[in-house]
Amino acid sequence: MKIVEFLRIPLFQRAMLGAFLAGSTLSLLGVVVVTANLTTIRFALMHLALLGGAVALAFKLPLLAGALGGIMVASLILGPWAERFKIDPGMMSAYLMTGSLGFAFILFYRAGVPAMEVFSLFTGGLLLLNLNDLFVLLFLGVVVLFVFWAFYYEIELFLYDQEMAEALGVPIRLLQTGLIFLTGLAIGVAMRVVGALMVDAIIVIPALTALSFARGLKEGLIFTSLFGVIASVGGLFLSMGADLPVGASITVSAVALLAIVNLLKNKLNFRRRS
Amino acid sequence: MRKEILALNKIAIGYDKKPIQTALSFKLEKGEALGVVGPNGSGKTTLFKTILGVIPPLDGEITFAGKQVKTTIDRNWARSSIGYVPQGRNRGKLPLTVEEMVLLGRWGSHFSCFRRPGTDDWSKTQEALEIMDLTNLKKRDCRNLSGGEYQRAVIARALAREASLLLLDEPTTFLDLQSRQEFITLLTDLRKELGLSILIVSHHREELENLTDRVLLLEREKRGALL
Repeated sequence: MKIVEFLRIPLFQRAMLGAFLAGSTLSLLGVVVVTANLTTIRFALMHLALLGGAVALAFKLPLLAGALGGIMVASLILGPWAERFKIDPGMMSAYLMTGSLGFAFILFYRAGVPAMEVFSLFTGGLLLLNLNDLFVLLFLGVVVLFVFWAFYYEIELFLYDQEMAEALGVPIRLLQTGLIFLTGLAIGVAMRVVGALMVDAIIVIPALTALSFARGLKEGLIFTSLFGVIASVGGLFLSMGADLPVGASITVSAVALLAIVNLLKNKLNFRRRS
Repeated sequence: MRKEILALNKIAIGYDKKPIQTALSFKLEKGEALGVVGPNGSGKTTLFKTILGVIPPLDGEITFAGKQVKTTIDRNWARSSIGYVPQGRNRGKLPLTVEEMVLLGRWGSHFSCFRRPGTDDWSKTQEALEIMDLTNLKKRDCRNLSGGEYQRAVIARALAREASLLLLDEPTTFLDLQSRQEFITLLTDLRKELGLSILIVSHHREELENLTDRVLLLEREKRGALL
């Protein structure tokens, strides 16, 4: 089957649109994750989503609502509460990661929550996207773009130097909590798009690739979005053309882009030196 | 008679209702430079954070340009005329050009959320870059500047804010001897040319002697004394 023929099928059309939306907008939060050292926090958010899902199923509520509830609680714990009780967010993440898994397994055992159903949160796929998922992606994408447009300079100050941002009057705690919450939501949605184990391909790697050579936040955001689209849409084409799993193809595309950009950068630096 | 820019009257500073300094009083006039010395933990940085309105004073009054600073609005107003220069240790992971970094100095005083920088903000940024002789470096990533260049860029950021008071928190800590001397000469010239008031923390007493009119000595759990 040729790629053009694939694109006539609604399932692939939805996948293409989903890949484009996730790659172009959710990836922008990777700039926050990479520069504000939130790499541990993103795991904690995923684990709390799992516990939230388990709690939801125990009370016969929708799984996704529970997962999003878990992410909301996690952003509160990692933001203002960590500040109030003077606990390093990294340390708090470690507590949350192990603690939430423990509680989730107790719930599986005691409340008879079907573990596999909860773990389905971690196994997303572009080809499984329905129209509702696309609307959620579109909505979240618009929110992410709005936040970066409206608070561009505040985010720039926060990511560049928190001490300076505070001295100038930027409400950094509020901004941090908001960004953690938005990152949590993006992770929750990205889990649905590529699956939890490959969330980094959309959230972290495009930003890492762009920030390795960008000269400012604006350049960083533009290239992150571009690499996000290339990795996710390109990965989808790769999977169709070479008959490979979608999530894995997106991940491989993202990693390949990172490697190519770093190789080019090193080669250019080497030429400049010699 | 010179105009008073900052006055602290029997101020207590500290965190979580635990004072580090109590009954601290001093005045700073326009164009005057005051050095602050003291051991670690004596409240030098806390004093700056209190003046900047990042943490509220535990007791006493702060007056800025003749107006008592009490509310959040007062604090934001006072802060818009203060340029803060940190140690220069944090360069962050975010790539940022010198020009963008200097422009950020105008945040909160000339632009903020939903109020984008205008032509005036960019022209003041260029002016500050020219004063600090940084025009040729304006497109360079801040992380690739030398210690001296970076501190000049941070001063440019304060100038772009059109600040009347500079707070410098150990600005020469990470500079070599030559860069330190150049930096102090630069500050002395700026003070003369622009009539800036300066409050500077330093561990190097000889620097303060060259630059400042008076020195405030802070000691742990004792009242600050002007030397």
